[in-house]
Amino acid sequence: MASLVGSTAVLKGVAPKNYPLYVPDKDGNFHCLNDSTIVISFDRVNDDYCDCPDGSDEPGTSACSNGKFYCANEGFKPHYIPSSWVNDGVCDYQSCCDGSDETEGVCANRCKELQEEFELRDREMEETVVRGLELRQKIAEKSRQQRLTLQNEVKVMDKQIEQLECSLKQLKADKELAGSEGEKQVELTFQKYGEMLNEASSKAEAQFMALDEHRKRIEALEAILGKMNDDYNHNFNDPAVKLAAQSYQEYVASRADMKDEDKNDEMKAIFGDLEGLFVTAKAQIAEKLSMSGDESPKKSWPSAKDLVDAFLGVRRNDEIQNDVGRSLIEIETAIEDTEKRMKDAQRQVNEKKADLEKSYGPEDLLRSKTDCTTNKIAGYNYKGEKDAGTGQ
Amino acid sequence: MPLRFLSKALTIIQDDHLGKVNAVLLKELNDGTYIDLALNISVITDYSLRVQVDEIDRQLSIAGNITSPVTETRYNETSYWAFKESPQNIAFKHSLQSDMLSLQYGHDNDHQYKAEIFLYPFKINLFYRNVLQLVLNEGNLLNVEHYRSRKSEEKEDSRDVLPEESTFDAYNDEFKDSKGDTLPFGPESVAADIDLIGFSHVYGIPEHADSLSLKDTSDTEPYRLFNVDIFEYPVQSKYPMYGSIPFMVGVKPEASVGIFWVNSADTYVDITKTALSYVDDKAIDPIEGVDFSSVSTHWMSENGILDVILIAKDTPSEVSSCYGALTGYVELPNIFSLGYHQSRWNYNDEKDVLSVANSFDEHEIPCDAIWLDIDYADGKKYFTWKPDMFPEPERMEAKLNETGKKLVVIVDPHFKTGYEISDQLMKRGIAIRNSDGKDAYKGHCWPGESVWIDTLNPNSQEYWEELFSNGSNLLGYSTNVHLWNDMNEPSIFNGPETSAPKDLLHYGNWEHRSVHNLFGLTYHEATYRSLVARNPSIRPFVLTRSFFAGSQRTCAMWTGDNIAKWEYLRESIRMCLTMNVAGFPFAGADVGGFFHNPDSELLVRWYQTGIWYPFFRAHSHIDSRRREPYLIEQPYQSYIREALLLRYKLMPLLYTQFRKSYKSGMPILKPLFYDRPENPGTYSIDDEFFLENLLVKPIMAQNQTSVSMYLPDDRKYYNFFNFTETLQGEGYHDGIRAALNEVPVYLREGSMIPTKERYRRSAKLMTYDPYTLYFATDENGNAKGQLYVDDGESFGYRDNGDYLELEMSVERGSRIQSKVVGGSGNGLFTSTLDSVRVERIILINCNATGNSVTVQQGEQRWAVDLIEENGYNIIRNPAVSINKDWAITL
Repeated sequence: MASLVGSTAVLKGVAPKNYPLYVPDKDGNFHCLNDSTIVISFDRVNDDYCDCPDGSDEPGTSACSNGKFYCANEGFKPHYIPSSWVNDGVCDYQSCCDGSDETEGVCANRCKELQEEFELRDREMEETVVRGLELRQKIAEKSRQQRLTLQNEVKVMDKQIEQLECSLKQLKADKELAGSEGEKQVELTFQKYGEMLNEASSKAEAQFMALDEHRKRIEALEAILGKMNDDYNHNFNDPAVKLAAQSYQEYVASRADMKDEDKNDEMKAIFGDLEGLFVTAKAQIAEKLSMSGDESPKKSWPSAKDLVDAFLGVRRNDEIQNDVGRSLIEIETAIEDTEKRMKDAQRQVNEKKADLEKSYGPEDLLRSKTDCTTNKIAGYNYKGEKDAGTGQ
Repeated sequence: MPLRFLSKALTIIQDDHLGKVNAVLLKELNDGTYIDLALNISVITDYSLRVQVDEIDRQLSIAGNITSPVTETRYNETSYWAFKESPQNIAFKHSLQSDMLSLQYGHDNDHQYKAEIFLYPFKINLFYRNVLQLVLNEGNLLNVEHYRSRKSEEKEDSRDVLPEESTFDAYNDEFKDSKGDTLPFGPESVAADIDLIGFSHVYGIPEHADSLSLKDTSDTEPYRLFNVDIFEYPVQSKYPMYGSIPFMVGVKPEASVGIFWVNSADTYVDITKTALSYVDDKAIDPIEGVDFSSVSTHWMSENGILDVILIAKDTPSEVSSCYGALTGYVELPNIFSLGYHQSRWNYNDEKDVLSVANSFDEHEIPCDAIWLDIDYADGKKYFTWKPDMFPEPERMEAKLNETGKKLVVIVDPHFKTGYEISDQLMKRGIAIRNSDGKDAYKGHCWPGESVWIDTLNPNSQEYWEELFSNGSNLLGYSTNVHLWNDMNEPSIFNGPETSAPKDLLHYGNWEHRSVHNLFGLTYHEATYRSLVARNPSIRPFVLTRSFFAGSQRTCAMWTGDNIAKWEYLRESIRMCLTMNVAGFPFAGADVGGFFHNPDSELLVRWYQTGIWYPFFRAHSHIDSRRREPYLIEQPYQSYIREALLLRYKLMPLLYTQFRKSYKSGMPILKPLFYDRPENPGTYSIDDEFFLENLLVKPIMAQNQTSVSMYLPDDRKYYNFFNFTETLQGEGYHDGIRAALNEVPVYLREGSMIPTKERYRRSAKLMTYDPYTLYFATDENGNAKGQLYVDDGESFGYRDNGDYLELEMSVERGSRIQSKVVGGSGNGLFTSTLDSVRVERIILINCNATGNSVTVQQGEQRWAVDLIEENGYNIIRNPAVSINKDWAITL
């Protein structure tokens, strides 16, 4: 075999900066680059047989599985390709435009072409980047405006809350003054009564919600089964599915409409209890008041039904007539009202503050981008930015 | 059991020269009268005995009873589809005695056959080498349900219905799914019993998800052959599956037999194994060490003629060879199809396909084909593309082609009503028709209401070729697209047993009942022929799910919709081995399991097993997670990659085995009993196999770190990855390491294995890579093996002798040589192999000494290095050209 020392062929696949590594030692040998104890005759460099475990003796062939081949790609950009792409009959132009990865004559040099293409693409890319930056600027400005608006709103609302706190303090002081001893007793009882009614009301509401929830779940299950029943693939002959579909059909056939009477019954019972409680309470209060002798027991109490109606929102609270403590009730109502407004304001301001703290990415860019699109691809839904085209 | 068959000696026409016997069999009816049956016996291909029975006066009896256009004769064209060509009869000598006609034949004195045909009661004893091997009708179960009118059938004490025949559902089917079956002829089944004398093990009759050695069915359902789209099939069952090959092989140390039941209707096979068998009233002792000494088989088919071929030979390989001579050998595959196939239901669009292909390259994992399942087609209307997903399929195909990769697309036989293809099928009258013979049958499948192409109709071929032609909508002018034919059982979602109503009519007005099991074959053959017509210089690749005897000539098969569970991995090897026994070696299973998601361990083991499937494809259901090898976490990914590299490394060996199978019908994934039929210890083993002389035991169970391996002989076996660990001694060897990155593979002494060891992005890109040869010499210093080389994709090997068959050997540990024993190095392709060299020779157990050896090729001689390694030697870069003789002196 002819010695290749000194020829360019021996340096095939070697980057120019590594040429100094591919020089025979004084004995005409080559040392594997990562293990200099392995010594081979220099004519075994690039002889298409892998001698070095690190692949360094075959930079220009496919003999070593872990090798890297250097394509000079003059006129374009140099590039490394895996040794497995060398001499496999494929012109790997996207990495090796000079065609040096194959035996001479197999792949023409296309670097010039590629360079032109690349420059064109580069220009296009630049334009795209400029356009993109402009767009980004706009979005950032929009987001900044949104942020400012939010910050202003928070400021205003904080002030409102402050004012509300002030009036609440005043109202509470008024209440202190307004309440006499006897009225306080009555108030206490009412307060207790109110609590009980509150409890009853929330219980009732919970029941309603639970029932509602159950009904929704049943509807959802029926919808699932209905869809299965309509759409299942008879071909698959799955006995479990067939049985389920059949059972569903029977169920549908024998299903009675949902009744709301059950709920009413339960409510009636609750209100019955309430009435009882109320009567007892009334008697107790009357007794207390007559014992004190201080006050006339002839008061017109609201009926239990009225109270219940009020709690259920059938009639408004202020319709409940009461001869005594009108101002107290008014104050109470005002306190309640103020507290509620405060709570609302607090909630809103908290939300806004949270939103302000939320991360919308660099420069708050995504603050002004709340829409996204859905693409259906081969039965799957893919979500993406509206302007970004098809994303996966 | 009444003896129902008589043979009137006076009607026997025997012609020694033409090698056939024509006679009349008499079936006795209840009133003592007879029905005449035509009996034909002939000696055909490779000395197999063919027995055919048909009704004689069927049309006369039917006349007037039938209003539909259905053909009245029994279906007799199964062999037309199953056989490679019409077989030639072989001459025999005969002698006629009072109770028996005896035929004698055979190619020499050592391989003599004798068929004793008894006249009353009718039975046939088949002797090979003077030993009784097969008996037909010993149990008097041979029957042809002759035509009887509905009136006669339903009459009490009918003369036509024998005591052992049933009138149940004779003229109407009460089975819910097939109530509409018009059953124009009533019951018309055929059946026969065949005993295998002195046998304990039988194999074949795929497709079933069962053991390799078939089971006794005395207490179970029979094995059923009825092509059907079975959903989530259970393992270890006798249920019918997608394909059927009614061919059974029996093996015992002294002889092997084959039974080929040439019938394409719904078929059942019962198997009874008995400890003792009575022949001529003399009990035969059980063979020592074998559980059974006789196997009785009972074959039953719904209709058609009775047509059975009995084969007796020395070894199972010879039986395979004979069966293949009848039905054809496996086609030499396009080399890409032996690489790795990456499939999924579904890759979504062109970008998806190219990104999958590219990811393989990026991870340096070889891959030869990306597959597209039904969702590439617009509305599952085959021969269309989804326009928004695949706007430029040819651009995508060209891109794949850059690295030698192919695209495989699916085309099923059902066509949605209301578009061009289905309109054409109806207009041209080439759709499967309703039982009245008028309109195309309409059923439901993937696209909704559909019609089915009738590929039994020769006119279908012309249209089919049009659809695949150059410039067609589906294939354009691409050269790297191949085909997948699925759902060709046919699968019909609203049909009985998810298939076609049996009374539908095919070309020739044959009932679907008669041709059901071969419909799938007619379909994939039409595709194969169309692809050849499209481009006569490229070997087409077609994958089919449904198949019949003869399918091996034109396609590969896979085992359908398996599940990502260990038991299905285990089953896949059994099924592939059975396919190899049944003459259809190009078989595989979905790697990873079609349904559900395998965990990393199962996936690694499945790849390590799958690399040995002759057809190696990963595929998965649309609901499963993506699991392409490069997506798998480390270290599992690297284990999978190593397995794939091993597959490609062994490509020259695998391709050489395909060449051998193409020439002789021998299995490629070889059960141990094919290798050592004289050793009954091999008969039940179906978790180990040979690829040539590599003995492989894939790990198919969870958490396994060591395994017990069976050696079928006393030869020495070398661990194929280090050559230092050896096994020797027939029987089981325990404690063989099998960590998750290891597959037990052992190389048998005395053999040579050719490999190519450089990773490339596809098989095509390996064409001009150098070879590494492994020689494991035996105690006499001898080893040999073969290498077959051609261009891997054209028909040049067939048309121009453009191939190389090399015999490579070491003799007495002193001389290695390679000889061109077939083809030549001067072909259009083989002459380009001047540049393809042997880069490395691994010598195991050779005890070569010195630092160099002398290489000789032609007039040239040169010295190359001999390197001593731990337990073996390497001849460094002998650099001989592969296409000419060479020798190395050690």
